[in-house]
Amino acid sequence: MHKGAAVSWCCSATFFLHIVSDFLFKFLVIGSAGAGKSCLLHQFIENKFKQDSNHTIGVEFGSRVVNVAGKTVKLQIWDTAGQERFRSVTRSYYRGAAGALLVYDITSRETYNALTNWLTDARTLASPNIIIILCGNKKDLDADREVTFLEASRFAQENELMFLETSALTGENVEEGFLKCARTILNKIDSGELDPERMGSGIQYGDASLRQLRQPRGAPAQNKQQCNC
Amino acid sequence: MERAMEQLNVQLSRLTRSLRRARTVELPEDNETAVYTLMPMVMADQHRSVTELLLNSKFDVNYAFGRVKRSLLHIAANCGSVECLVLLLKRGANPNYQDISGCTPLHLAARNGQKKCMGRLLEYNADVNICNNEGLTAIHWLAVNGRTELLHDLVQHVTNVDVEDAMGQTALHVACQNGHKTTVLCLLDSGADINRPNVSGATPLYFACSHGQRDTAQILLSRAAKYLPDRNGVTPLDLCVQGGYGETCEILIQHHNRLFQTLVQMTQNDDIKESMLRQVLEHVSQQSDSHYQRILTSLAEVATTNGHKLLSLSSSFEAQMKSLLRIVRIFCHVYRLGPSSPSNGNDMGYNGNKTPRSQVFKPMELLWHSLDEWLVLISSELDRNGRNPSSASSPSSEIASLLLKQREASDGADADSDALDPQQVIMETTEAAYGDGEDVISMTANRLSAVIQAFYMSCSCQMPPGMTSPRFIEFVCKHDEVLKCFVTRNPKIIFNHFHFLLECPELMSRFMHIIKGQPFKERCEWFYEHLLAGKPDNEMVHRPVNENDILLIHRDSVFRSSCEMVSKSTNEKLKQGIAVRFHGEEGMGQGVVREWFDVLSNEIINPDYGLFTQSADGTTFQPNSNSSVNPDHLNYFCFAGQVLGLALYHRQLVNIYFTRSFYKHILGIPVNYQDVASIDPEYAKNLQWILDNDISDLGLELTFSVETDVFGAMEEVPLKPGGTGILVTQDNKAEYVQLVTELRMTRAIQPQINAFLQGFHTFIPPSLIQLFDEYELELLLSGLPEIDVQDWKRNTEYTSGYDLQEPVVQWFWNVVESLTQEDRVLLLQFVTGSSRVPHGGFAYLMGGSGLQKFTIAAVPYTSNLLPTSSTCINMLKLPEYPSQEVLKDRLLVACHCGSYGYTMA
Repeated sequence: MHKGAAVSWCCSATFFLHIVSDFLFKFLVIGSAGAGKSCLLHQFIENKFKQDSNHTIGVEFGSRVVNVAGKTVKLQIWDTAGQERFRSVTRSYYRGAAGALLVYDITSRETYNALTNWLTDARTLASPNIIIILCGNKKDLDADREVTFLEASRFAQENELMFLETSALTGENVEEGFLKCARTILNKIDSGELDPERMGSGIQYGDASLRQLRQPRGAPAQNKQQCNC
Repeated sequence: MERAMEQLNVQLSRLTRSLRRARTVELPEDNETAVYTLMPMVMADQHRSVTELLLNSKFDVNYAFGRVKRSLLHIAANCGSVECLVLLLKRGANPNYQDISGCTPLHLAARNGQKKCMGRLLEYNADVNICNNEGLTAIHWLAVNGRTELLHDLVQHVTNVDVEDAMGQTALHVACQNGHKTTVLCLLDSGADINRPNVSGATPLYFACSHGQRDTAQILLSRAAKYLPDRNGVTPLDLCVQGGYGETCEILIQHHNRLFQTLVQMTQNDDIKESMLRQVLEHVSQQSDSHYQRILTSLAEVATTNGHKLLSLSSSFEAQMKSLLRIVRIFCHVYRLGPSSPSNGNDMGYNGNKTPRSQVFKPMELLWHSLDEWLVLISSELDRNGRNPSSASSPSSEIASLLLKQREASDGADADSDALDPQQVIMETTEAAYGDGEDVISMTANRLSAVIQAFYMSCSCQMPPGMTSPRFIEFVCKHDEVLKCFVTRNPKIIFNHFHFLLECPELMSRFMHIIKGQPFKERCEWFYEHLLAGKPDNEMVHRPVNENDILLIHRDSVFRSSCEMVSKSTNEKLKQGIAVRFHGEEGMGQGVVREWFDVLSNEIINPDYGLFTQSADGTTFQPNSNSSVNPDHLNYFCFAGQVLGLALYHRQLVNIYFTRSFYKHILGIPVNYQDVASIDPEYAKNLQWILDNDISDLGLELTFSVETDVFGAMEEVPLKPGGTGILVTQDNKAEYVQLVTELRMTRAIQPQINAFLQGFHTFIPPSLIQLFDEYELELLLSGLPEIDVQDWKRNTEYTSGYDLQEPVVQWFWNVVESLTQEDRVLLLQFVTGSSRVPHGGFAYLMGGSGLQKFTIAAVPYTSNLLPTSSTCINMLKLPEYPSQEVLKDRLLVACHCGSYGYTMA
């Protein structure tokens, strides 16, 4: 298994099969190498843990349609490489993101210490209004913990981030992470703080006007012939 | 007796009546015969005759006849024979009688719009609600044909205006698909359900859209019709796009603003016909400036997202690449159309700010920025590998590139079979490859190259045609190293993505050596792909030939009349296709075109015109330096160039072989002293001698000048300014040789070459032809030479004991007869060193010292002995083989291994 395979294809939709959603949000997954970003995404999309994950090359892409607060939202998620050598490439994907998962590894002080840099990048390159949720990943490895919950939640508070500890292995809080972020964005749209019409907001209206009951049966429409006798 | 008389009288009077009216006056007793007597009268509404006939008969007015079992009432209703209709009704005809398909007379009257008949039928209590076997009622029939007035009358009698046929279709459905506006309005006013789905979920709006009924869609939408997909999820917008109905799309978007985005998103769908979608987007973009801006901006956004997906290694390369290129292609098309009001913001606005028109490119800047960053990354990976060369050839990277190839193969195959899960393969590939810079390069090269292609498209659509965007040139220069690395590793990238090279000579030269290294066949494909890309009406292969576009050629003046006809026509027409007819002949078509090129090329080299001269070997031609004897010579050279260009354009072969040096001239390659051999072999030897020997002490007293004979007068021509005063020395002799070569080969015929190229380039752009070398150009223009075996046989001599009667010799000719044209060429080349038959045939075959016929010499046979040859005397040394089979086998082995190998694909 390689890193970044956690992908569902929005482009492979067959003809006529529209993605039915009220909104489309552009999300980023950022954080240092080895924090488990691709595993989080894989868990979120495939509901499976990815064994033998390799370093991501550049940026990978995944998408999933979720239901949040009665709305259907399509999440377009860009999973970035954490390695320094890809930094300039991954930065070019930030623009126009509506939300981000900022991921560190609770068993690695180093990944936690790098958070400030990642945060600055996100706020300057994506948008100052970007909704960010801090994810302390590898919650299942509590024995090797190097970053306490308290410390991280204080950091989150100081930087106006939401915070969760997640486990891509067990799936704990993974879905919540993404949904929480999406919910916050929806709230901001409702309160008028975010304007989906504005370009570069990372938000688009979906195809909700098309949402209909769909029965699988049904022959293709037949056209009546005109008679001219 | 009296009775008999009476009967006779009756019969007599009947006879006279019948004769007078020219028809029978009494209905036959049998219904079947009677009905066929009546039918024509009913059709013609001859009600008096019908009345008369029916008067005393026992005919059953409800008698159903014929294949569809209709009554006479059906006939009357169908034909609008209102008097007969009433007559039949009065006589008790059933107004609701159904024929075999369940149609009542009312159905038929409605279908054919027989207003009066319908009225009468209703008076006689015809039931308007009866369905035929397909479930159609009278209002369906009226709606199909848009008979609004009749519908208006009838609908009041209808209990359910939404009555469904067998497919669940109401009258409104059928009126909508046929676009009958007033009918639609009438039905809606009568309470028809505007959102009614049929069995497959198709609504009236759906039908209006599927048939591009713009006005009908407008009516429905303005009456708040819902936008609903059918049961398969097919939406009205899908249907509009499928049919390319831009106007209907525009109306849908007017009422459902969100469809705008959906429409743009459709560019990602591979199943939608690009030309239709483009047509729709172009139409919508022309509605207003804001539409134009919005479509382009949205397209640019979609392109960027797609481009980024393409750069995600786990996405499907094929699908994402196609998608990106399609979107950018559509973008460029719409952009070039310009906004509907061109005055608005075409150029630079105030304070030098870019006006909104160029703003539409902005969303794509993100992608180009990523592309740039990627290439910088690759460049640093290259540097890293350069510092650490071991990694470049590490086994793991070889495996990765091997897997990559496998994956490419499966990418192509998975369209046909589901046997291979592409994602699986990708995973394996990337698994073996991660972490190594080398692999980052090999895994991203194709993807980045496709994005570069998209970048080029976007850059050039902002430029006037024929100009390369400075931004793009700068881009290529900046990433020169990386791009070269890509194509060196995978030269296919050039053909697949670097189309820009053909449009930018300044960039082409950077990659030329790599391109030239590619197989001839692939370059050929690339050549024609691009040559024909700009061809108008590319899709229509068989266009009817316009009589005025036929080139009418006189056989007795092929050259002049062709020249005249070609100059009369336009280049565009000639590109589209050539139709030739010889004066006074019927023949047309490809055969005639081929013949024309054949005959015409022979004429071009006809010595009477003095345009071309034969070279020393007698088989090839080049421009005659003295062609100016013909005052029009440059026009004719231009024409010759056009003919050659046209032939190449249409893949026709010409019957001329030029000297190597002239092919080089066509290609723009400099000639060298060895090329002189083709026009003057002795002189070439002398040049060679000067180069090979030290000339310091020979006292040649050569200067940089030559004497030329211009119509008998000797002239001293300097090779360079002041050349007459510069002595040739050991040090500058190479320059001297090059300059005399150019003088002999180029300068002497420069005006002719220029004129020829001017004509040639009207059909073949110089940038394209330079994909080939002089040998390949010859193959493209003239193909393989035809070899006439009989001529060959007639002009062959035998020696060392052979003669024509020898079995071995007979076998030899049998074998030659059986060879393919390619193998014959190989054999000829094996023996004579040239693949060419001299002009005029084998009788003119040249040897080292003048004419030297093809000769076959006997050699004693020993096992496995192969034939050998002496090319300088055109001699084949043929062992006395024991059988024809052995001879053939050995001969072919010798030809295939022994000759230089004919340079062919």
